[in-house]
Amino acid sequence: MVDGRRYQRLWRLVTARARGRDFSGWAGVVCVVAVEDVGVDGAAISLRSSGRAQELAAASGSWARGLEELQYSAGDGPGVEAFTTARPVFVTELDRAGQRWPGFLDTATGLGLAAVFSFPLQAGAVRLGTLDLYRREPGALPADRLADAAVLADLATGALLIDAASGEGASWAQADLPGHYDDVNVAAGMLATALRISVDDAFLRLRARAFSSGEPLLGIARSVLDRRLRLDLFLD
Amino acid sequence: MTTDKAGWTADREAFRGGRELSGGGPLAGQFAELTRALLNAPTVADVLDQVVTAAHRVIPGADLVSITLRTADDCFHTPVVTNVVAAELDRIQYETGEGPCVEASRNPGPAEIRSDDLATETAWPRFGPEAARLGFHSVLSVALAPNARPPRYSGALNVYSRRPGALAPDAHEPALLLATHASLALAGTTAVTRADLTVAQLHRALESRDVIGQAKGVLMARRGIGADEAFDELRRASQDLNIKLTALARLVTARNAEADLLPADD
Repeated sequence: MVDGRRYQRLWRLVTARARGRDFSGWAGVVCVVAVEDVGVDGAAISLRSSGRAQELAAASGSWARGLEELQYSAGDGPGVEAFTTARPVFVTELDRAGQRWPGFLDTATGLGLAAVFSFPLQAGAVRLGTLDLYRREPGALPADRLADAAVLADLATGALLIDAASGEGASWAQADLPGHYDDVNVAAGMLATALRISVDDAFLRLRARAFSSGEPLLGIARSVLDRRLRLDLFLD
Repeated sequence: MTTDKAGWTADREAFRGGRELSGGGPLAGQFAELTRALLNAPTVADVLDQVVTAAHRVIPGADLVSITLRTADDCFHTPVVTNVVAAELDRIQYETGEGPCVEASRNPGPAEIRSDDLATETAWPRFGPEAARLGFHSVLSVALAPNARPPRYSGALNVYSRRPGALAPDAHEPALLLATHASLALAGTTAVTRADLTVAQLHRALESRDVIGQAKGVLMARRGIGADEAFDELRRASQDLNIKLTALARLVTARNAEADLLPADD
């Protein structure tokens, strides 16, 4: 059950923040409030789908953005799992998470991530994406902060729908504007054509290269686009 | 209570796992398979997706399938399609206010609207020729059962074929069965709101964007041009050919996939 007063208080925080000069959508404001109110080091909102397609709607900063990109690169991680299972995913000690998310975990701890709290964003019967809260310190969130985070996930859902529908609509809501991961798709198309393989196969090879080199998938994709990386490196 | 629930869950899991598939011929098998897929579909949109995919598979002559949803304020949406061209055929009907999907969703009930030769169809003077121009000559729409609880939706399941008279006289039977599945999914939740449709559109935008990006890459590699140039070229071709950008991009990437099957010519 959503606690009405908690909801009101957080909504006021969000609307107060939204009056700032650098307002560029409600989703971004929810991330900022999440960092300040819940007491985490980074927050990000991603749209997710059952397929490979993802979009970064907002992030509180470059650290959170990098962690979202890492989930995209790896194709797994706490947000991906929260979306797939429709349940919140909390990991309070990431270095004890064992074999979970092999593509995500090592790099994430390397980036200083110690605890993560991911909430599925539910709009009616369907899921839209996730709110991922990242922290550099291990340990659980106090019950009160956790309740705030759950309400913020609700607000994040509304924020996305409002951002998508208002005015021209946010850029991430428009099919013909390049998305955050556009370079990866372009690189996959290039690689598929050059090597006469399918786009799906090309994507897997880009991902494998990112995994083996430890470089982010977007970085690999950009090297392909700038023709800095020889395409025959992707041959079997 | 707990054991009952556990038992029920176990039954459902067993069914999902396919261990209780009973005999009864290929049609029963297909039906069981569809029901299982529907049980596993996590969202309303997924159920609708399953329904159009199944209709495309089981209705002889079906080349394209889509679902139309009409909200109480007379707005039309196409949340799911088997191919983007179906969305285009639907859109023409929403814009002109004529055609089978508009008629079927305005008259919820066991309505079955069809045409066996769209090029000469007098009932739809604007939609008929336009559909024929896009290469589609017969169509069948059946109404979805209306949603009893607010928000009140009505809608239709639409089947398009390239050939005149390709949809058999009894094609509406499987179509109605599948439309019932779609109606049940929509009625099974009070949460089918505008938000759901927005979400469906957002998810489609996500996938469209991916395919546009991939098509840019294909053109860049083929012609040695830059990303902006590739996008301009796609945009121009989409206007010249009067095809939506996403549909064109899908075509470009699909052609590329077909090329995989050919031996390298260099």
